[in-house]
Amino acid sequence: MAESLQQTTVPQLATPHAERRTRPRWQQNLFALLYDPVTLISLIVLTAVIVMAVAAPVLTPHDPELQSLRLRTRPPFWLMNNEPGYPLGTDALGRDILSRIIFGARVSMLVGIGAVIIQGTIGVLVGLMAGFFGGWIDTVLMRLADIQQAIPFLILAVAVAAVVDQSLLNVIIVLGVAGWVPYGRVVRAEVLSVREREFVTAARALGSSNLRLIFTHILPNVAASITVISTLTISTMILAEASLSFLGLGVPPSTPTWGGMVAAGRDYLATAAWVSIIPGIAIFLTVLSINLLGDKLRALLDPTL
Amino acid sequence: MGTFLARRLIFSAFVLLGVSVIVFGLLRLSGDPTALMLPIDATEEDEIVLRRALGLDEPLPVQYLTFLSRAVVGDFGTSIRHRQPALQMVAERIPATLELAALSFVVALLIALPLGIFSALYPNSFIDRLSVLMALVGQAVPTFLLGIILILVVSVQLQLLPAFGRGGIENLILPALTLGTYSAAFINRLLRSSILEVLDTDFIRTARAKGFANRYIVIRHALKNAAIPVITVMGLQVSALLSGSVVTETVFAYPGAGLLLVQALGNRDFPVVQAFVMVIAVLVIIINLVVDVIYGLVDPRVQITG
Repeated sequence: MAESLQQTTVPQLATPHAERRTRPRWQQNLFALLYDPVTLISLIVLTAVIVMAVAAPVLTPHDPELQSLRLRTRPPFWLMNNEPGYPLGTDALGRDILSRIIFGARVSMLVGIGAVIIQGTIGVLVGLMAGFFGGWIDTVLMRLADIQQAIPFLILAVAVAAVVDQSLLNVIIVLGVAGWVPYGRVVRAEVLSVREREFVTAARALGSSNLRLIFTHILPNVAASITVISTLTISTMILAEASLSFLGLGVPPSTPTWGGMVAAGRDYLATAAWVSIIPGIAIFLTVLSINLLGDKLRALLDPTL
Repeated sequence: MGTFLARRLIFSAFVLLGVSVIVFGLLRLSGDPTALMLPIDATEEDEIVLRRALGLDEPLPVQYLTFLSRAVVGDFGTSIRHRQPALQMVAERIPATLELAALSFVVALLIALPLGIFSALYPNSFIDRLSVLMALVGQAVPTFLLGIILILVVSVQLQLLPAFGRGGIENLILPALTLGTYSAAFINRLLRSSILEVLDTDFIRTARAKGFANRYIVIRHALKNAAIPVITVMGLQVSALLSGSVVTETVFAYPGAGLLLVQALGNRDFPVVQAFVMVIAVLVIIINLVVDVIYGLVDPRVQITG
């Protein structure tokens, strides 16, 4: 809000051309974004998913767990024999697919955002330390990264997820800890170049402590890259959680998840394909929107990346 | 070259040692294996006897060294469920997985190379826009959804190819398409941008000044240089393909090592899981070593003297 206050204090110039130029940069960027139909649609889809995740209990027309023998595998509204009140149809146990999709958004968003926060925290701390201190600290941390990367991400994640108790929190932690390496490497590489710049030397000459140098001088300069990777990684984590749930190794099977719904519908592909396809499309649209927004963000924040 | 290889080999051995610690820790995380192995009516004495037989009464570092000394000679214990040597079970399934991963990589290259080169030759053309769209879709669609849609359309509706199992090439086509799509999308965009970057350099401008055709310049000059970033990410792509094979093999009930892993995890058959993770890590390390060497061969600026 500080920016909008600032804008009102800017003296209004006579010509409309000059007036447009006084508009703050962030506002120009925002308008450019909203005029782009692809970005606008992505934003709408993502907002819808977030609203579904936050307000799931209010939005669902039915109890997502409620089974009904009478209403088994009813098709969605665009097919024949749709049951009124069940616009996306029902699954093999007669549960409302729309309500399960809405609750599934919760798991996807929580895991996507939660895992990225954990990855980001570990990765950024490791990258800052390795890049700033160099020497043996750098060697040890980067060798740890090499070791972890010798095990493909999803394989490490399923192996650990199967060993620990099945719970939403554990899935977030497992994906978070398994995926810190890309952050660590990118941040380290950036810190290596930032720490040689004059303003860091100047701050050091003024007597800044290492901690102060790292967190107030170097971290802000790598923040743009961190933002870009984080956005794009949320979609990777949503896909990873969907894969875990699809394999039955994610959150407890009773919780509605998009990946678990696709898996549950596999046995009815020939007769009731929508049971699998609809939650699959939910994953696809969410991931696509996040990727499109991430690409835009990257173009805005760092044209050279 | 010799010292480079020697250094890389020592480094690889070190990484493998680190992986063995993770794999050992995995079993410790799973809690007490005796609970899984004993019959329900076992007495406390039975448990103590079993613990001693398995070496679980020793301190952790001793247990790790025992695990390591056995792992070095390929002994990961016996599958709790199938009573067969765990490594042997994994080894029997690995060729099927490698076959699938290799074919998927070929599929990825067959899609990505022509699309990437064409998009770079004619930026913003119809094909370029189409390939952007394909890349976006390819990177957003979950592997299992793509597999299910292919089964639905090609196997169920059109009845062209089998949906399950392993046999001839016809069983491999759908899984390889499923698994190769993500890599195809990734390599396609990377290739396009790296060719465009190379096309902006001085030596290409010189070639243009000499009057060579655009097509000739791209294929004879730009492609070799543009291949370098693509080769760099190949190691990561292999890792992604092996990750993806776990899901793809489950969708198509393809009897590879990935399906074995999922079944072993479901049965809490941890010796098999440990053997699988070690074998995959060895594969990833070998492939990265090969990629490093290829990298040096393609780019003379990279010194392979160590």
